[in-house]
Amino acid sequence: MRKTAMVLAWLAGLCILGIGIWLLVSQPSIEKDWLGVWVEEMEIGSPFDMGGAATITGIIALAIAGLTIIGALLIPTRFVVAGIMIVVLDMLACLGVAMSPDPKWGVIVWAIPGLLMAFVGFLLGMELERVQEPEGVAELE
Amino acid sequence: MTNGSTAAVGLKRVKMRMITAVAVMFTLTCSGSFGMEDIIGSSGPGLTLLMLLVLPFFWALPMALTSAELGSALPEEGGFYRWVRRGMGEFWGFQAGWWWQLSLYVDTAVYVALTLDYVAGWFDMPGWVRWLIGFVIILIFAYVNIRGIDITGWVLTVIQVIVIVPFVTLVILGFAKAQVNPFSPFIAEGESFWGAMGLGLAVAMWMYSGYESMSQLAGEIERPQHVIPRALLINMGLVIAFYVLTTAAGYAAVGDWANWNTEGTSTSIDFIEAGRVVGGGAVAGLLIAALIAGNLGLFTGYLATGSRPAYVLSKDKLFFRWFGKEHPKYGTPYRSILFMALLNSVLILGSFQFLIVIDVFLLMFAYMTILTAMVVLRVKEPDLDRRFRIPLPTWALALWFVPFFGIAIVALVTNGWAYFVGGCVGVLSGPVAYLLFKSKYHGVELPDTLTVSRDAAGALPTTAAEEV
Repeated sequence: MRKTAMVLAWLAGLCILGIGIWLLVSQPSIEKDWLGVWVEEMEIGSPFDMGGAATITGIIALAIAGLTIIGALLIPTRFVVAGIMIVVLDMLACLGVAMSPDPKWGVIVWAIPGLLMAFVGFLLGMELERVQEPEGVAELE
Repeated sequence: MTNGSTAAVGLKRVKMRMITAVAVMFTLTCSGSFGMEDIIGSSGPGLTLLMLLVLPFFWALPMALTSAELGSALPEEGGFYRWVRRGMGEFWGFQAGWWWQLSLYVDTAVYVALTLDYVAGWFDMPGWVRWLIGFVIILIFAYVNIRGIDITGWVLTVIQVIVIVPFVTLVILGFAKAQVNPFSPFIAEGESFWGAMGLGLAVAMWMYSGYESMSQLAGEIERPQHVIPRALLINMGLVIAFYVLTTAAGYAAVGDWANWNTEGTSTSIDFIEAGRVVGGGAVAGLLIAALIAGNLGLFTGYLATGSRPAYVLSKDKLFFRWFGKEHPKYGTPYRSILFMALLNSVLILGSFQFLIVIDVFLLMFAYMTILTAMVVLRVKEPDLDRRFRIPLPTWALALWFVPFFGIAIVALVTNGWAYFVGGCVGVLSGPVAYLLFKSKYHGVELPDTLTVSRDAAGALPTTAAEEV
């Protein structure tokens, strides 16, 4: 299970690397109306514009890619830490997608790495269940 | 209660009469028809009634019957968390319990907030007074919960009388003064069949949810394998009849389907307005009382069930140990109840309604896990002593669950992409929490057989601690 998780984490890292490079190179127009959907649908916060958003998000994506690959490398020795790190990165990226000017577009871009990272979390959770010795027996009521 | 290898526990088991159990179930799954107005206005009255009659067979009944079958076979505190764990392992059991608990933590606060909004609509009051009233309400019902599930059950029975009587009055007067055919028009004008159904489906799903909840309390009721499945089945019919009759009577008396909604504008028609039309201010007043009582009932009922996963997970060494203590006198998981009450007290301070939609996401995942565990347990443990068994072979059962999964998946994407991603964050918190708590506390092993537990539950003394 750890091997599968490691392969998935590597794939996710490479996908995110690709997304980061694409954001930096193609510079899609995502400067305006960050948080706009939240304000409209959930009535919280206020929308803002982010100058150079493609560059900033591209750099963030590269950082997430790097950390995901570090997570993948950690899986054979410290898989609990790696699992937590990878899933938390996925959660942070999801928050970023939700805050973006066009969450639908964000979901499409993030779908594959996001799912791969989620699978890593679920696989490593099941792996921990398999290898961690329980302490005692459940109290049945 | 326990076999030789298990430790003593101090949860108190109480006798619960069938009528009380049905009242608790009715609270958790219905508590009035308020909210139905939005389906009439968006889908059309005929389609609303059709959905109310048909949807339960694909949405509520699978969960109700699953809860009845597994509740009769594995009647344990923690209910579906333990079922999923037994069928699919500790990790998935934890996920089901975690997702459900997280959604309930937010959900319960909404019922108090709604009550406060109604009260604030009548009396001009500063924010701190609003919060103080909410805090006192939460404290009162938290105390009721800490006293025990028997007292909570009686409080909910009284509350449901306050809810049901005005609606029965509305049904009688509504049909007596009917002006329009309750099925006409069948679909909202300008909408296709599927488009109209999509508009009302989310609300209808919400109205028919909650059938898994009472399983959480199985460890605190004497003979739960007898009481809970029967209460579930009686309640299922009761809720369908309640929704269909109140909706049909209310609309038949007033008509004007397009203005049925809960927006509270000058042209809005809701059940309170319908009560005013058929019975004057007295019936409208009774329905306002029903609305407030219904919300308080939902809060109390879900405070009871929503506080149990934290307790059981803690007992199973998968959550903070602090939550796993029972009250020394009342034998209830008082710390877990108090924590949830305090969290609700904080939540009613601000605007958190947007979290509710994320809740739906968490609930859908928990529901799908529960039904999957049901099928897995049928395959893995065909000889498990199921005192109630859904009269379907396993393959037919799995086939019957397919529409449920379809409806759940549709529900995940109907609220917009921002909510979808927000829901994903909530779901992802599950594996993170498991990795953290499992590596810290290590968990416990479930014994192979629960027969001892189940049989003992039927003949248990009033207080488990007494046996020890």
